[in-house]
Amino acid sequence: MPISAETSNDGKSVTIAISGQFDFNVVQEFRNTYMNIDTGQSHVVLDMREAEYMDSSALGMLLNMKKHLGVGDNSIRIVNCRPQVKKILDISRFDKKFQID
Amino acid sequence: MRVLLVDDMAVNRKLLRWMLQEDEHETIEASNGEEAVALFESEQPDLVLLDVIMPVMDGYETARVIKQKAGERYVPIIFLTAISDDDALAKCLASGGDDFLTKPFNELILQAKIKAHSRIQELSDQLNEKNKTLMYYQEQTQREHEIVEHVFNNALSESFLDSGNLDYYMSPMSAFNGDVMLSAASPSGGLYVMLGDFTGHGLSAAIGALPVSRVFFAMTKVGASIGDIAAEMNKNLLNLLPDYMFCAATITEINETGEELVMWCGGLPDAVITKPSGDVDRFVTSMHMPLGALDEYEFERDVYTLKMSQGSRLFLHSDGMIESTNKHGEMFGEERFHALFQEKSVLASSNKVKSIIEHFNEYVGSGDEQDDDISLVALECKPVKGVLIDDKKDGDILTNSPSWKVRFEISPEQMRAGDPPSDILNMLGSSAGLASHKDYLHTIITELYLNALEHGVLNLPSSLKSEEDGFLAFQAEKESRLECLADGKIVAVLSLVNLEDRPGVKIWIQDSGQGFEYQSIEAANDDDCFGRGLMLIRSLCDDRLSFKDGGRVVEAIYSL
Repeated sequence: MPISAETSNDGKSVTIAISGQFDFNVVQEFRNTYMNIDTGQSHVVLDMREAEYMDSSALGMLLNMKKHLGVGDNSIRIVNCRPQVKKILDISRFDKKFQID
Repeated sequence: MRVLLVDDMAVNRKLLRWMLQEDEHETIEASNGEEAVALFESEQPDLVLLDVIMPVMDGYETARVIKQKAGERYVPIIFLTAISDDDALAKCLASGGDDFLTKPFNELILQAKIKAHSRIQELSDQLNEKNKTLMYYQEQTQREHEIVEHVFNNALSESFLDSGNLDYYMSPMSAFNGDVMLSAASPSGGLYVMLGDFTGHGLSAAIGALPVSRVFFAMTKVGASIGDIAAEMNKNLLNLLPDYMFCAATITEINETGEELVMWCGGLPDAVITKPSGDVDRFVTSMHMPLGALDEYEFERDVYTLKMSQGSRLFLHSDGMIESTNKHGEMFGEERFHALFQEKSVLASSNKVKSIIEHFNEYVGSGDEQDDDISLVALECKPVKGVLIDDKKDGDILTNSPSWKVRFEISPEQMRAGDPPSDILNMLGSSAGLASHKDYLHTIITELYLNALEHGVLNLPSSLKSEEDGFLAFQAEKESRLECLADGKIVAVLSLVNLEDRPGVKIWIQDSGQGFEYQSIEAANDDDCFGRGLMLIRSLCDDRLSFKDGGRVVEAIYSL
């Protein structure tokens, strides 16, 4: 599965791991992983370690997720980005909305 | 036996010849030393009976020359002498004689002496033969070691060892190290480090380093997770190594900012984490069995994830260090090792590894041979300085390469089934100079293609995307329109062009749609969920983006 979610043992964080191409084709699957997260309980981490590529629709999907979860800026972490993915996030100034490590 | 008789008196030679022939020995005769030396060389006798006093060359001189010519082979020389004073006899032995026989000759004694010396000769011949064989094997082994050493050096040379985060000391017990340290930059900007200790030492232990390093470099290159790397190594070693051999290892990754460590620990002694002050913070105990011990289905890939503060350090070491003994046979031990971190000189030193090793060497003393491979690795938690890819080189290649222009025509069938941007990239990505730009070209081509498809050919309004669940609606609409698309096409032309001072790739895309207001698909503010594609392209192409023919044609130029 290109997208999977895992809750940490203490329940305090949910890590969504994305692999392969992060684009429109996974919109439904991506949405399903965050629909039921209780943001009062846990914070969200996006692990991009295995994401080879993301396009502009994935950027939209990230913003959609943030809207849906109703959390403030910088409360969702995006980690382990490869340079090409990082560059897309940088160009789009996503560091204003997400905490990018 | 072939016996050389040397005596100037014919009667003595005759007498000896009879005695020897009775025992079925073959004889050759010389009447002085010079003749004897010539015959010794041409006939290669097994034993020499030598008179002392002779004309031309006396017995002493003859013995010296013959012994020299015999070289490594033991050819006994028995002096024939009438004299019996001690000095003369000592002189016989000193000049190279092995024994003497006093005149008049006694047949029984002669036979006994010949027998005794032939036994010694036999043993000596056997020994020489064995030495030769040993020498041959030694040379062969040495040559093989040289070849293997070469292979090892090449296999491990990929390691990214001069990272500013990494400090290490490795001292193999023999030419080959059973401890292996590997490191590599990760695609996400962090650093992978592994320390492994194979069962045993020397070549048999080092052999495992080959498959381990192959897996390490292949998987770190694609940014695999620590757990996956460990599992793959385990699988490889399990298949390759005999049951009693495995590899205690810690595999770790520090992220780009140096704030997070992920560790898989299998069988190495406790890792030590120090605070920025240098004081010991805590120990990380291994939670797994060594690599190559468990079957694939039993293998556990869970890892520790540790938050690190800047300036803290992780120390990994193999058991060789703590099990080393001093001259009283007392082990260095874990306690002494841990105590070293609190030593004033270690706390004060900026090169912790060097300072710790100095203390360690002081304890075990010098001169003694090491009992095991000794390794100590320190990883400092601070931002990782990565390897910069020099993309200027690509530009140089392209300046000298022939120009090209490629045209792609994409039909509805292909729009439905395939991934045209990836196909285009796969074709062009292999051409010289484009490889390192593949990712950005992929982004640009994909964004332009999707605009041409969605807003051109399929005429979808991007306003659909402005609602939170609009993405799903947009996708559903896209799929249904695409499904019943009968005609329409997208043409993409890519060509190599010259920008002011560098080569560039021009991407020209035309669609068969009605045209569209491209301003309407550009995001107005930070929170808009759509229209970020054009912004990406503008940024990647330094604003060399233009629309023509009412939005039906778009052109972007990417600088290489």
